[in-house]
Amino acid sequence: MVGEGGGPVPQGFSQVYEAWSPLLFRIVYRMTGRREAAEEIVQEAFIKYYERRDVLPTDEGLKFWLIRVARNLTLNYEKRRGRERRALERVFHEPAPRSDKGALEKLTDAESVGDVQKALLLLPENLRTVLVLKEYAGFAYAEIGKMMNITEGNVKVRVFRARARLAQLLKEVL
Amino acid sequence: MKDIERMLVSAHEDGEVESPWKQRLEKRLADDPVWAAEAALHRRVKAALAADPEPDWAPARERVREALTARHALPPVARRAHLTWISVAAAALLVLAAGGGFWLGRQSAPTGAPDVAEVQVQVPKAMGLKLSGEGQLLMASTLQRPTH
Repeated sequence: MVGEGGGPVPQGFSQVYEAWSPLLFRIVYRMTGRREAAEEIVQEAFIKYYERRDVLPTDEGLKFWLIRVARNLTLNYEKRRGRERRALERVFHEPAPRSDKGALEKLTDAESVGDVQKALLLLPENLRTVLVLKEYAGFAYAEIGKMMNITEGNVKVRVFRARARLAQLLKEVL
Repeated sequence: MKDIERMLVSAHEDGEVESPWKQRLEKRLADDPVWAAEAALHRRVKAALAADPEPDWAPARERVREALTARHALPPVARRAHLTWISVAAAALLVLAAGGGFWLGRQSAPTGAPDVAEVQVQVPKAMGLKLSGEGQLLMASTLQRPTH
Protein backbone atom coordinates (compact mmCIF):
# COMPACT_ATOMS: atom_id res chain seq x y z
CA MET A 1 0.00 0.00 0.00
CA VAL A 2 1.30 3.38 -0.87
CA GLY A 3 2.50 5.35 2.07
CA GLU A 4 1.07 2.99 4.65
CA GLY A 5 2.94 1.05 7.33
CA GLY A 6 6.14 3.04 6.81
CA GLY A 7 5.91 2.46 3.05
CA PRO A 8 7.98 4.16 0.44
CA VAL A 9 5.61 6.92 -0.57
CA PRO A 10 6.11 10.14 1.37
CA GLN A 11 3.76 11.14 4.12
CA GLY A 12 0.60 12.66 2.72
CA PHE A 13 0.69 11.02 -0.69
CA SER A 14 -1.55 8.14 0.32
CA GLN A 15 -4.01 10.48 1.98
CA VAL A 16 -4.15 12.68 -1.10
CA TYR A 17 -4.67 9.63 -3.30
CA GLU A 18 -7.42 8.28 -1.07
CA ALA A 19 -9.11 11.66 -0.88
CA TRP A 20 -9.11 12.76 -4.49
CA SER A 21 -8.68 9.74 -6.76
CA PRO A 22 -12.38 8.72 -6.67
CA LEU A 23 -13.33 12.20 -7.85
CA LEU A 24 -10.72 12.15 -10.61
CA PHE A 25 -11.81 8.71 -11.82
CA ARG A 26 -15.40 9.92 -12.01
CA ILE A 27 -14.56 13.14 -13.85
CA VAL A 28 -12.20 11.57 -16.38
CA TYR A 29 -14.56 8.70 -17.08
CA ARG A 30 -17.41 11.12 -17.78
CA MET A 31 -15.13 13.16 -20.02
CA THR A 32 -13.86 10.18 -22.04
CA GLY A 33 -16.45 7.42 -21.61
CA ARG A 34 -13.58 4.96 -21.14
CA ARG A 35 -12.50 3.20 -18.00
CA GLU A 36 -8.99 2.47 -19.24
CA ALA A 37 -8.56 6.14 -20.12
CA ALA A 38 -9.64 7.09 -16.62
CA GLU A 39 -7.11 4.66 -15.15
CA GLU A 40 -4.27 5.90 -17.35
CA ILE A 41 -5.02 9.58 -16.82
CA VAL A 42 -5.54 9.36 -13.06
CA GLN A 43 -2.24 7.52 -12.71
CA GLU A 44 -0.45 10.13 -14.78
CA ALA A 45 -2.04 12.97 -12.78
CA PHE A 46 -0.78 11.46 -9.51
CA ILE A 47 2.69 10.96 -10.97
CA LYS A 48 2.73 14.67 -11.76
CA TYR A 49 1.53 15.39 -8.23
CA TYR A 50 4.29 13.18 -6.80
CA GLU A 51 6.95 14.97 -8.83
CA ARG A 52 5.81 18.45 -7.79
CA ARG A 53 4.32 17.80 -4.38
CA ASP A 54 6.86 20.02 -2.61
CA VAL A 55 5.71 23.16 -4.38
CA LEU A 56 1.98 22.43 -4.56
CA PRO A 57 -0.69 23.74 -2.20
CA THR A 58 -1.84 21.40 0.53
CA ASP A 59 -5.40 22.69 0.90
CA GLU A 60 -8.37 22.78 -1.47
CA GLY A 61 -6.09 24.32 -4.07
CA LEU A 62 -4.51 20.91 -4.54
CA LYS A 63 -7.85 19.44 -5.56
CA PHE A 64 -8.30 22.15 -8.18
CA TRP A 65 -4.73 21.59 -9.40
CA LEU A 66 -5.32 17.84 -9.76
CA ILE A 67 -8.54 18.41 -11.70
CA ARG A 68 -6.84 20.90 -14.03
CA VAL A 69 -4.04 18.42 -14.67
CA ALA A 70 -6.54 15.62 -15.29
CA ARG A 71 -8.46 17.82 -17.70
CA ASN A 72 -5.31 18.70 -19.66
CA LEU A 73 -4.30 15.05 -19.79
CA THR A 74 -7.81 14.19 -20.99
CA LEU A 75 -7.56 16.75 -23.78
CA ASN A 76 -4.19 15.31 -24.82
CA TYR A 77 -5.66 11.82 -24.71
CA GLU A 78 -8.54 12.86 -26.96
CA LYS A 79 -6.17 14.53 -29.42
CA ARG A 80 -3.98 11.44 -29.53
CA ARG A 81 -6.98 9.22 -30.16
CA GLY A 82 -8.15 11.57 -32.89
CA ARG A 83 -4.78 11.36 -34.62
CA GLU A 84 -4.76 7.58 -34.38
CA ARG A 85 -8.27 7.36 -35.79
CA ARG A 86 -7.40 9.62 -38.71
CA ALA A 87 -4.29 7.59 -39.42
CA LEU A 88 -6.35 4.39 -39.48
CA GLU A 89 -8.87 6.04 -41.75
CA ARG A 90 -6.09 7.03 -44.15
CA VAL A 91 -4.71 3.51 -44.15
CA PHE A 92 -8.10 1.98 -44.87
CA HIS A 93 -9.17 4.82 -47.23
CA GLU A 94 -12.27 5.70 -45.23
CA PRO A 95 -13.36 9.34 -44.92
CA ALA A 96 -13.16 10.98 -41.52
CA PRO A 97 -16.57 11.68 -39.94
CA ARG A 98 -17.62 15.33 -39.85
CA SER A 99 -21.11 15.57 -38.41
CA ASP A 100 -22.83 14.52 -35.21
CA LYS A 101 -23.51 11.24 -36.96
CA GLY A 102 -19.77 10.85 -37.31
CA ALA A 103 -19.38 11.59 -33.65
CA LEU A 104 -21.90 8.85 -32.90
CA GLU A 105 -19.90 6.48 -35.07
CA LYS A 106 -16.84 7.46 -33.08
CA LEU A 107 -18.55 5.97 -30.06
CA THR A 108 -19.00 2.56 -31.66
CA ASP A 109 -15.39 1.71 -30.81
CA ALA A 110 -15.84 2.98 -27.29
CA GLU A 111 -16.93 0.88 -24.38
CA SER A 112 -20.51 -0.11 -24.11
CA VAL A 113 -21.96 2.97 -22.46
CA GLY A 114 -25.54 4.06 -21.89
CA ASP A 115 -27.43 6.72 -23.80
CA VAL A 116 -26.69 9.37 -21.22
CA GLN A 117 -22.93 8.86 -21.37
CA LYS A 118 -23.06 8.74 -25.18
CA ALA A 119 -24.97 12.00 -25.28
CA LEU A 120 -22.48 13.53 -22.87
CA LEU A 121 -19.64 12.59 -25.21
CA LEU A 122 -21.37 14.36 -28.07
CA LEU A 123 -21.14 17.69 -26.29
CA PRO A 124 -18.26 20.00 -27.20
CA GLU A 125 -15.46 19.67 -24.68
CA ASN A 126 -15.94 23.14 -23.17
CA LEU A 127 -19.61 22.41 -22.42
CA ARG A 128 -19.00 18.82 -21.32
CA THR A 129 -16.32 19.83 -18.81
CA VAL A 130 -18.44 22.35 -16.94
CA LEU A 131 -21.43 20.01 -16.87
CA VAL A 132 -19.33 17.11 -15.59
CA LEU A 133 -17.76 19.30 -12.91
CA LYS A 134 -21.23 20.48 -11.90
CA GLU A 135 -23.16 17.20 -12.05
CA TYR A 136 -20.54 14.58 -11.21
CA ALA A 137 -18.19 16.53 -8.97
CA GLY A 138 -20.73 18.85 -7.35
CA PHE A 139 -18.70 22.04 -7.71
CA ALA A 140 -20.28 25.47 -7.49
CA TYR A 141 -20.14 27.77 -10.51
CA ALA A 142 -17.49 29.92 -8.82
CA GLU A 143 -15.25 26.90 -8.19
CA ILE A 144 -15.65 25.68 -11.77
CA GLY A 145 -14.77 29.13 -13.02
CA LYS A 146 -11.65 29.13 -10.87
CA MET A 147 -10.59 25.71 -12.15
CA MET A 148 -11.19 26.53 -15.80
CA ASN A 149 -10.03 30.11 -15.56
CA ILE A 150 -13.33 31.52 -16.81
CA THR A 151 -15.90 33.81 -15.19
CA GLU A 152 -18.79 32.56 -13.11
CA GLY A 153 -21.18 34.03 -15.68
CA ASN A 154 -19.47 32.03 -18.40
CA VAL A 155 -19.90 28.87 -16.34
CA LYS A 156 -23.60 29.63 -15.98
CA VAL A 157 -23.97 30.01 -19.76
CA ARG A 158 -22.05 26.82 -20.51
CA VAL A 159 -23.99 24.74 -18.01
CA PHE A 160 -27.25 25.98 -19.49
CA ARG A 161 -26.14 25.28 -23.08
CA ALA A 162 -24.85 21.84 -22.14
CA ARG A 163 -28.16 20.93 -20.51
CA ALA A 164 -30.19 22.31 -23.39
CA ARG A 165 -28.09 20.29 -25.85
CA LEU A 166 -28.41 17.16 -23.74
CA ALA A 167 -32.17 17.64 -23.50
CA GLN A 168 -32.30 17.61 -27.31
CA LEU A 169 -30.06 14.57 -27.60
CA LEU A 170 -31.96 12.65 -24.95
CA LYS A 171 -35.48 13.80 -25.80
CA GLU A 172 -36.57 10.22 -26.44
CA VAL A 173 -35.41 8.95 -23.09
CA LEU A 174 -36.27 11.95 -20.94
CA MET B 1 -38.93 31.97 -23.33
CA LYS B 2 -35.77 33.88 -23.99
CA ASP B 3 -32.45 32.11 -23.61
CA ILE B 4 -31.50 34.42 -20.75
CA GLU B 5 -34.64 33.38 -18.89
CA ARG B 6 -34.00 29.71 -19.55
CA MET B 7 -30.46 30.18 -18.29
CA LEU B 8 -31.81 31.72 -15.10
CA VAL B 9 -34.03 28.67 -14.58
CA SER B 10 -31.04 26.37 -15.18
CA ALA B 11 -28.99 28.28 -12.60
CA HIS B 12 -31.90 28.12 -10.15
CA GLU B 13 -31.98 24.32 -10.47
CA ASP B 14 -28.31 24.35 -9.46
CA GLY B 15 -29.04 26.53 -6.44
CA GLU B 16 -27.01 29.35 -7.98
CA VAL B 17 -29.59 32.16 -7.83
CA GLU B 18 -29.44 34.34 -4.74
CA SER B 19 -32.01 36.45 -2.94
CA PRO B 20 -34.02 38.45 -3.79
CA TRP B 21 -34.02 37.03 -7.34
CA LYS B 22 -34.46 33.53 -6.03
CA GLN B 23 -37.84 34.31 -4.41
CA ARG B 24 -39.07 36.24 -7.46
CA LEU B 25 -38.02 33.39 -9.73
CA GLU B 26 -39.74 30.81 -7.58
CA LYS B 27 -42.98 32.80 -7.67
CA ARG B 28 -42.71 32.94 -11.46
CA LEU B 29 -42.10 29.19 -11.63
CA ALA B 30 -45.17 28.60 -9.50
CA ASP B 31 -47.37 30.91 -11.58
CA ASP B 32 -46.19 30.31 -15.13
CA PRO B 33 -46.53 26.81 -16.65
CA VAL B 34 -44.01 27.58 -19.42
CA TRP B 35 -41.39 28.47 -16.83
CA ALA B 36 -42.40 25.47 -14.75
CA ALA B 37 -41.99 23.18 -17.79
CA GLU B 38 -38.53 24.60 -18.41
CA ALA B 39 -37.54 23.91 -14.81
CA ALA B 40 -38.91 20.38 -15.08
CA LEU B 41 -36.83 19.76 -18.21
CA HIS B 42 -33.63 20.80 -16.43
CA ARG B 43 -34.53 18.58 -13.50
CA ARG B 44 -35.05 15.62 -15.84
CA VAL B 45 -31.64 16.16 -17.44
CA LYS B 46 -30.02 16.37 -14.04
CA ALA B 47 -31.85 13.24 -12.89
CA ALA B 48 -30.80 11.32 -16.02
CA LEU B 49 -27.14 12.25 -15.47
CA ALA B 50 -27.33 11.26 -11.82
CA ALA B 51 -29.01 7.95 -12.62
CA ASP B 52 -26.40 6.88 -15.17
CA PRO B 53 -24.55 3.97 -13.54
CA GLU B 54 -21.07 4.62 -12.21
CA PRO B 55 -18.43 1.91 -12.75
CA ASP B 56 -16.93 0.25 -9.69
CA TRP B 57 -13.60 2.02 -9.40
CA ALA B 58 -12.17 -0.07 -6.55
CA PRO B 59 -10.12 -2.47 -8.75
CA ALA B 60 -8.81 0.37 -10.94
CA ARG B 61 -7.88 2.42 -7.89
CA GLU B 62 -5.96 -0.52 -6.48
CA ARG B 63 -4.09 -1.08 -9.77
CA VAL B 64 -3.11 2.58 -9.96
CA ARG B 65 -2.02 2.54 -6.33
CA GLU B 66 0.23 -0.46 -7.01
CA ALA B 67 1.64 1.13 -10.15
CA LEU B 68 2.47 4.31 -8.22
CA THR B 69 4.18 2.29 -5.49
CA ALA B 70 6.26 0.36 -8.01
CA ARG B 71 7.24 3.51 -9.84
CA HIS B 72 8.31 5.69 -6.96
CA ALA B 73 10.11 3.62 -4.36
CA LEU B 74 11.42 0.29 -3.26
CA PRO B 75 9.15 -1.90 -1.16
CA PRO B 76 9.58 -1.19 2.57
CA VAL B 77 11.41 -4.45 3.43
CA ALA B 78 13.92 -4.20 0.59
CA ARG B 79 14.49 -0.56 1.46
CA ARG B 80 15.32 -1.44 5.08
CA ALA B 81 17.70 -4.21 3.95
CA HIS B 82 19.41 -1.75 1.64
CA LEU B 83 19.91 0.70 4.49
CA THR B 84 21.25 -2.07 6.74
CA TRP B 85 24.01 -2.91 4.25
CA ILE B 86 25.02 0.74 4.08
CA SER B 87 25.18 0.88 7.88
CA VAL B 88 27.33 -2.28 8.08
CA ALA B 89 29.71 -1.00 5.42
CA ALA B 90 30.04 2.36 7.18
CA ALA B 91 30.71 0.68 10.51
CA ALA B 92 33.36 -1.59 8.97
CA LEU B 93 35.12 1.41 7.42
CA LEU B 94 35.09 3.19 10.77
CA VAL B 95 36.63 0.19 12.54
CA LEU B 96 39.34 -0.12 9.88
CA ALA B 97 40.12 3.58 10.08
CA ALA B 98 40.31 3.53 13.88
CA GLY B 99 42.49 0.38 13.89
CA GLY B 100 44.82 1.82 11.27
CA GLY B 101 45.16 5.05 13.20
CA PHE B 102 45.95 3.20 16.41
CA TRP B 103 48.57 1.04 14.67
CA LEU B 104 50.22 4.04 13.02
CA GLY B 105 50.21 5.88 16.34
CA ARG B 106 52.00 3.02 18.05
CA GLN B 107 54.59 2.81 15.26
CA SER B 108 55.48 6.51 15.47
CA ALA B 109 55.32 6.97 19.26
CA PRO B 110 58.64 7.36 21.21
CA THR B 111 59.67 4.19 23.02
CA GLY B 112 60.43 5.78 26.38
CA ALA B 113 57.74 7.24 28.64
CA PRO B 114 58.21 10.90 29.64
CA ASP B 115 60.13 11.50 32.74
CA VAL B 116 57.86 11.92 35.78
CA ALA B 117 59.81 14.85 37.03
CA GLU B 118 59.53 16.55 33.67
CA VAL B 119 55.73 16.07 33.62
CA GLN B 120 55.61 17.27 37.22
CA VAL B 121 57.10 20.55 36.09
CA GLN B 122 55.66 20.97 32.60
CA VAL B 123 51.97 20.13 33.17
CA PRO B 124 51.24 22.60 35.95
CA LYS B 125 53.25 25.18 34.05
CA ALA B 126 51.17 24.63 30.94
CA MET B 127 48.00 24.94 33.01
CA GLY B 128 49.24 28.14 34.62
CA LEU B 129 49.34 26.60 38.09
CA LYS B 130 51.83 27.03 40.82
CA LEU B 131 51.79 23.90 42.92
CA SER B 132 52.88 23.91 46.50
CA GLY B 133 55.01 21.16 47.90
CA GLU B 134 51.95 19.06 48.83
CA GLY B 135 50.46 19.51 45.37
CA GLN B 136 53.70 18.38 43.76
CA LEU B 137 53.82 15.30 45.99
CA LEU B 138 50.18 14.44 45.15
CA MET B 139 50.81 14.77 41.44
CA ALA B 140 54.00 12.69 41.64
CA SER B 141 52.17 9.92 43.47
CA THR B 142 49.38 9.98 40.87
CA LEU B 143 51.81 9.73 37.98
CA GLN B 144 53.84 6.98 39.57
CA ARG B 145 50.82 4.84 40.54
CA PRO B 146 51.08 1.54 38.72
CA THR B 147 48.31 0.77 36.23
CA HIS B 148 46.66 -2.63 35.88
